[in-house]
Amino acid sequence: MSTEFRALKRYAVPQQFALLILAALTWYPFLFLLATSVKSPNQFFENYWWFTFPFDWANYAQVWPKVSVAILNSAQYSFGTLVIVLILSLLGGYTFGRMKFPGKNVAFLCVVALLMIPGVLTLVPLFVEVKALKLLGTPWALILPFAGFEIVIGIYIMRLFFERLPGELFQAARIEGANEVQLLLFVALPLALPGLGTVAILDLLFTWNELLWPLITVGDATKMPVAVAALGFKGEHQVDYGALFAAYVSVSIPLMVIFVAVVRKFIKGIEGI
Amino acid sequence: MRLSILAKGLTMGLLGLTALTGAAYAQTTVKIYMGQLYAPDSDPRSKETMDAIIADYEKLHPDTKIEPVPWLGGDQSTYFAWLSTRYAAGDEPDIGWSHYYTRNAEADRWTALNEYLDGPNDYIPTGQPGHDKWNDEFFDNVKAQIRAPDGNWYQVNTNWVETGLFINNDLMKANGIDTNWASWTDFIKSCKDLKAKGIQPLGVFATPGWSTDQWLDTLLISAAFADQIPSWHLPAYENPFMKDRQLTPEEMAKATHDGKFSTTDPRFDTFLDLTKEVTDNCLVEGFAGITSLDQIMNLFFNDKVAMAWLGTWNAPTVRDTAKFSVTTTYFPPFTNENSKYLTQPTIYRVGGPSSSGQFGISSGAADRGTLDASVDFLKFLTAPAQAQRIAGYDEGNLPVIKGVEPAEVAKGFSAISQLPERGITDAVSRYNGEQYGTPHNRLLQSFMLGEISRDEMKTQYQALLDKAVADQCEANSWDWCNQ
Amino acid sequence: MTSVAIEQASVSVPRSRLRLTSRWVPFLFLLPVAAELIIFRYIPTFSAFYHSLTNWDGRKKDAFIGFKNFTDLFNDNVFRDAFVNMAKYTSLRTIAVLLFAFIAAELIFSIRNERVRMFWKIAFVIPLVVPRSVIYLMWAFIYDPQVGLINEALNLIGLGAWQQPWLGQSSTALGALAFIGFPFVSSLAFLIFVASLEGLPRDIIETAQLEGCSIWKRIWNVDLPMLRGGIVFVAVLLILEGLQTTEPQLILTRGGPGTSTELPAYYLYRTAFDYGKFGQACAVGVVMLGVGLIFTAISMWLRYRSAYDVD
Repeated sequence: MSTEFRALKRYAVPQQFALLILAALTWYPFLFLLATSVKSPNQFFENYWWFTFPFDWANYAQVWPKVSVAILNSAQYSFGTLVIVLILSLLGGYTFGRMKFPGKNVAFLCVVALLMIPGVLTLVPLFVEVKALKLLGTPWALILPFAGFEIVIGIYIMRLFFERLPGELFQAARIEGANEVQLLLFVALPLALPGLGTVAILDLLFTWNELLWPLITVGDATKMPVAVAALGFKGEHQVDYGALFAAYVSVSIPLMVIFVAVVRKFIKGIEGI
Repeated sequence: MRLSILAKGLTMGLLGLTALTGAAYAQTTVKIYMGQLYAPDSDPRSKETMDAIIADYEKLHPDTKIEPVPWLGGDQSTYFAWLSTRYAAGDEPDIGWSHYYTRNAEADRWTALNEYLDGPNDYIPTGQPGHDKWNDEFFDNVKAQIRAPDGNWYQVNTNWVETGLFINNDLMKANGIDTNWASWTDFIKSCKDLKAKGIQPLGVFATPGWSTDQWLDTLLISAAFADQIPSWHLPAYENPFMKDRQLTPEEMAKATHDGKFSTTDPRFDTFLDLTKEVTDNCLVEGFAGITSLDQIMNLFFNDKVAMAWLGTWNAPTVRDTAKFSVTTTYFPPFTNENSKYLTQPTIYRVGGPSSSGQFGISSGAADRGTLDASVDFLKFLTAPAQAQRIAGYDEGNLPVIKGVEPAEVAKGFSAISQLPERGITDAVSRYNGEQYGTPHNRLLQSFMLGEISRDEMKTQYQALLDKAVADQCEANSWDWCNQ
Repeated sequence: MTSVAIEQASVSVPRSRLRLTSRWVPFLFLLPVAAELIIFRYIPTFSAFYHSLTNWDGRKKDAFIGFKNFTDLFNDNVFRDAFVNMAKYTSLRTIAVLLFAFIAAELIFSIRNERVRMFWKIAFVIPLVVPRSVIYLMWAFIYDPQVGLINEALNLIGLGAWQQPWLGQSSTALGALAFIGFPFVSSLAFLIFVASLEGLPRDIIETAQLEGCSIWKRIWNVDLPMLRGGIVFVAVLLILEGLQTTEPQLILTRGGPGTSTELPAYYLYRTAFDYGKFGQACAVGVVMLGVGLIFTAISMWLRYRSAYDVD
């Protein structure tokens, strides 16, 4: 980002002042998270809003053994979900975005209607079903239902994305004799990468922070994903906010690293919406 | 039909075979969720102690494995979502943390423990209470309160909570407020004096969900209906354990059905008057916009409120955090001046079994063959030797097993725990179900804020009472329902 | 995209004799999607539909009771209020999010240097990683009537009279919840807007400005029409959020004061897990789905009513 910083200095236009205020407000929750994560319980009650000194690093030492395991678990769940979500979003988005077939509008409405079904409504029936399918205790108990929730928005985004691509791209390939599978793999897929990047980021944000479903389905404490693991530091009556927030910071960092790494592609993909 | 009998026979035969061949290795696994009592992350001492207790038990019973489920985190809502879902799929723990006041939402979930409680508990030394009859080791008032409307016990309690009034002495002294109140009227006067000096008197918050206002609410309504309450007792619940006790859901429903507990009764107006008085004079401004007890503690620690009504579980935090001198005391008694229906000056304790140690055995345990092992482990866990070890780290609760000493910080509450019991309990358990408690809290909150008129409040409240009775009658078909 | 992409695409396609009957291809492609959605979304949903007609308690009791759950619901003023609140909450939030995301997007768009624009975009995106429960815990204190940031700030600038118990009175509570997350820039909406604006040809805009077309006119006549697709997309997401929201109620207001912050999803959550009335909770979900479907259909219509032809 250093090149951006240099450029920033040269273009100190007044708009940047307004942006600076917005950025400060936007970043404050993150600073709050950091500040609270290095507080002892007393310091939490002393000053809620800002850093207090000295920093209590013990919070991190306390949470790390558990959180590090949870990060690995979440990486597994998120990766599995991501693969399925990307494949199915590509298939669905491409079919709805570039093909004509009878019943298309109804089929698409059937997909997006799922957006409107509250997760808490299907919580209990889904759990009963996942147990009947003997998925409990395996990563699939998280991965497959997560994917079921995420591909809906994924297909929606990919449809919008494909619709904005000019039709000539596909016609040219068809004239050359490509079949539909080849079109998908060699034309649609390369073009769809930025869109899939957007879907991937949204999916990661969802699976990484999802709480209720893993809390209910994962029985083994060593298999908990990050959101559940972090919540374990919140006692019912005695909340050690320092430890809780240290856990939140620790689990946010991997996500942040990924964000910084792929954010440019993510932003590119959004242009297609 | 025939096929199923055949299948059953086959299964039984197979089970028998397994039992014969694998007797030496047969293992029963008992899954137990004990809430805060096993919270490895937020309270490492709990894991240490409980693991040791479990190891001791497994040494005595090599054929049983105890599998503790760690504290889930979050609050009760999280736990109930977890538990309900697990129950729906038949995958719940054998021993669960059973919240006594949610019995209604937990229909058929727990096993009645009466026959076991009447039997001996061999883990208690001979001659001590509970050895011959397990039930004898528990405090009588606790047994009375956790008894279900059908007369059964679905849970055993190892501890319970008490509440107290925490006072910032330095702030009081600096403003010349005397806290040796003789009566509720004195207390209200102190509130007025504090307000006149620009100090917010009492930290209590009110939401439609769980909030400390519901404690206040039960004090006021019990005082308002004080002369009536004893006459609402039903013989079925007469309790050898204690004379003043909380009304059971059936007693509340019947009093409501008979028109004795009603919004047209002048006592209800007394209740509303008392509510208005304490709200306007004592409660911290914006009490309905405060969302948690942590926020109240924050106000208290930063001199923003002179007093806070907190639970025993907050006592360790107050001890460790407050930078001023704190007295833990209680409200002064109500007198005839406050409610003319009081027969003598009275203040009630607010506390109860909704604490960290309340255990039920799943009704599915019998089918899974884990019932006997679950009962046996509970007997072991509640024996004073083990309960004392738990009390060592579970500082914010008062043990309710005879012979178990509370932790140092909880001892200050012993005097409060001797106060008489509220006749009318928290709204959430008043009619056996949160579906009557939430609307109650909601109406009260609106009334306290002045957002609905007294008449409107009464109309809506009476409708709620009538609905509660109709629902309860439908669910329980008590014989007085059709009279 | 660009013509370079076309060339690359057409070159990279290998020839093949294999030909799939194109009539079946869409269905073949949708098969895995359908399988996943049917197993993990539709079956549980239809199970919930069925249970909406029973008195299911999540355990043994599960008898058919017709439409009683629905008549009970419509007789409950809290339930009705929850839907009215949802309409208010969602509109407030949609307006606020769209407005601030748009302002930020225009501010960034007005910067000519691409690197600087990228810097700001990155700066606004990263805070998305902060867990939502942290945000709610923080806003509980921001709104605190005694020590809250807003009231303290008002006091500081001499507007002490404007102090309010933001979450503690019906008149402000729902608005306060909708305002959580201010200034809403760290959002998908913002990114979509920036991306769409950047798609505008810069020279046209500059010519327009040189010829005396005011910024406001440009925004109204050029920028906003450009964003229509994005606005609809964001609106759908926000309606979805309004339908699914339980966290602010669970962490902050519990639906109060009065019924002022009740929302359907929280009503459902409470009915199921606090009251143990799973049958009735399912009925709530069915009503919510009905409302959601109407919104979805409208938004689809808005999005596609004059969409370009797709081959």
